[in-house]
Amino acid sequence: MIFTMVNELFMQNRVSSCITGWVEAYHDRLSSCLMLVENEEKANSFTQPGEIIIFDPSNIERIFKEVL
Amino acid sequence: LLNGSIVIKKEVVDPSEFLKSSYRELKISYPKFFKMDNLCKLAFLSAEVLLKDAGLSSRYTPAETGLIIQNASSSLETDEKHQESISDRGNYFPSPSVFVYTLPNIMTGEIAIRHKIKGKTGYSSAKSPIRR
Repeated sequence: MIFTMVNELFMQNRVSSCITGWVEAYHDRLSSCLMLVENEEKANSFTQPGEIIIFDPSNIERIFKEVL
Repeated sequence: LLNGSIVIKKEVVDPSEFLKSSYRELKISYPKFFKMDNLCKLAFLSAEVLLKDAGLSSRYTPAETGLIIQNASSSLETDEKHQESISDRGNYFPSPSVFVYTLPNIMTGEIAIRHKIKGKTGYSSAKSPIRR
């Protein structure tokens, strides 16, 4: 779901970067995982090699499983 | 965690206390934080950690950055708090400061205000962050 929404924004050139993820707070349950999505060339110019992860459904799911 | 590295580690049971102490530990100065509900506080702090060294404003115009956030419980905790304040006709005291947080997309608004983001924003609800 998140992938579809964010990917659509990029495909339609509505954004060049996007903060996205999961933020949940209900009574004693807090969980959050945010990520910054950018076009590859912009991200490459700013980050160190190895810091970039391809924004695709399987990677998003893997990160959520690890963090949330 | 930021890129796999621990930023804040706390053994706190109370969520409100965890959020307040994390705010202090991150050395943020943003008085409006204390007016937010826990959902917004968590979103706000998460964005602070994520964007601290991201150089977002130097690389993108405000309109170029978007915000899409998802969760399962929407703003239910604050919705319940608001409902309690209006359910008794003889004791009808809704609070404007609570009411403003009865929409889950306000967390995207709070982050957008803080980081001067003017691009597309959105919220969606899902049972789980992981496909089932």
